[in-house]
Amino acid sequence: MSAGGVETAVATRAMRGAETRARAAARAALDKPWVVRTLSLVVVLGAWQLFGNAYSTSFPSDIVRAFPHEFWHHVAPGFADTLKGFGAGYGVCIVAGIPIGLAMARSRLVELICEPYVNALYATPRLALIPVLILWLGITFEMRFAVVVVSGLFPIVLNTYLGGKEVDSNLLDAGRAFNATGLQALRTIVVPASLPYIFAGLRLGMARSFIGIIVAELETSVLGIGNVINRDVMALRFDHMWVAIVSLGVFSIAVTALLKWAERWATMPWLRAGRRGGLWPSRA
Amino acid sequence: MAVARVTAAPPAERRDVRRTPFLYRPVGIWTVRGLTLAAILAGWQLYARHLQRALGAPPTRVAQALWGQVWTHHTIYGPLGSSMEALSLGFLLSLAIGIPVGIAMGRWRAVEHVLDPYISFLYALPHVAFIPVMVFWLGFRLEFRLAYVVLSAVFPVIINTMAGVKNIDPELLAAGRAFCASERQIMRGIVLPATAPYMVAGGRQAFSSAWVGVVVAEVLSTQDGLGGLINHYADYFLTADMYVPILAIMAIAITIQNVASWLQVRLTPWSNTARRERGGNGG
Repeated sequence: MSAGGVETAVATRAMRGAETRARAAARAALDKPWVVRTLSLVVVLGAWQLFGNAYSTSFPSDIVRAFPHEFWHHVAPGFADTLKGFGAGYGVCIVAGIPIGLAMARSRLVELICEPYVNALYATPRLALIPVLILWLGITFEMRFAVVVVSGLFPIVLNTYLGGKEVDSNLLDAGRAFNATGLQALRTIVVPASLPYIFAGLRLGMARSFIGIIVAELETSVLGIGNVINRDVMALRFDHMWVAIVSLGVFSIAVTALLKWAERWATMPWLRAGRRGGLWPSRA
Repeated sequence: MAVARVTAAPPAERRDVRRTPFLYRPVGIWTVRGLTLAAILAGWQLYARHLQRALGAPPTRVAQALWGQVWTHHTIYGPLGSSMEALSLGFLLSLAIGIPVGIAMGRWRAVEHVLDPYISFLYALPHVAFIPVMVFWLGFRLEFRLAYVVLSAVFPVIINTMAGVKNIDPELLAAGRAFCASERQIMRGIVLPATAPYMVAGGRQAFSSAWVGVVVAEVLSTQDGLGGLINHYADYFLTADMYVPILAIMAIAITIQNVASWLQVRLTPWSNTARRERGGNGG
């Protein structure tokens, strides 16, 4: 390009100047994330609207039109059912998982007994157990509850255990030097030091439990959001299915964000005290 | 050197003097493990005696079923091969899609902004929700299972590769540019080697996710593969036989996890994870 500089006329130079300016403007626009994101969404949704098919993909306009009614009449009640099973199961995962993990980290005997099974069950796709659980528990609330526990328990146990093992031994020695009892050491040293791991486990466990309950619902198809999706597809109401899927996605993003906020609140207390007037409750 | 050796010596001596506690010696470890396994199997055997045959099977009958499926009737090999086919093809496809997309997203910001709304939405969403409509679009064939495996395994690859490209030391890129390296040379000489540990880490995660994807797709919707075999035996209430594919799925998952972490250590011995894992195995 620079080789041609000798014989360029004024006009071509002006044109080139305009061209580079346009290119610079385009580049500046491409650097603005929201411009690009909006453009990309418009293009994709536009293509969907143009090339979509009512009997296999539905259209964005139909989905938007179906949203309010479908959401309040089918998706929200389905969600309520799903959340009942999910909440109960995930609660049990937390209440049982963290103590088991801490016990494994603190007691060599418990560690030796539990570790192979926890590792094995953590690694396996536990959803393969759904047919067994259906056989044992039927297709009722108990089955979905059990699926949630089986899916969510092991990430929490394993992460808590790993966190408990990683505690700085100097801190434990200092505690012992000051005659801390086992419980005191647990409460003031082990638990705070392993909190980041525990939260990582809680996040992973939550994602897996949620997937678990939806798989259980898709498989048995009696209640919950998975059943709503199944029924919509069987009835070829793809606009309704998308309403359910979009709600599911928004819900997952919201819950993930909430858990991240809780993690920062619990593991970085200095941020709470430091930011007055923000979201962080001040302790001062 | 000599000083370092002197300061390093005492802990080793102390370890020799004090005997290792029972639970830390191999004898103790294997005693406890053996006793636990025996207790679990015995409890299962005793408990299963009180159950109806359709609901529970004692370990002895599971072992018989395993023997039958593996040695006498050879019924497990077909579904096993089918699952392995879906796993390997799906995993390779995820790498083939995920690595280029991840590099492009990390290298060019415009690409990142074009794709990130969809990727973060699909990543956060429990993608099992797509199974019914995917069955509708693709049928019960291999295409469906492959698509679901890719959907469950591609995001770890994309996200890790992108993080790797973004974490490249900017001075390396500046040096490349200062020596008039072309885009292709920068890609081959700087981006790919610097990103390799991240790609391997993503691939490791994807390997496990791909197997979960295979199993979920099979359990939920097909008569193919090991998942389909579980459904088949569950439909006929052949409970003992049903445990065989479940055990096979577990064994494969554990193998995958170990092979993947071994591969990670072998492929990128300088990465932090590999170093930690080696330390963990040694001590």
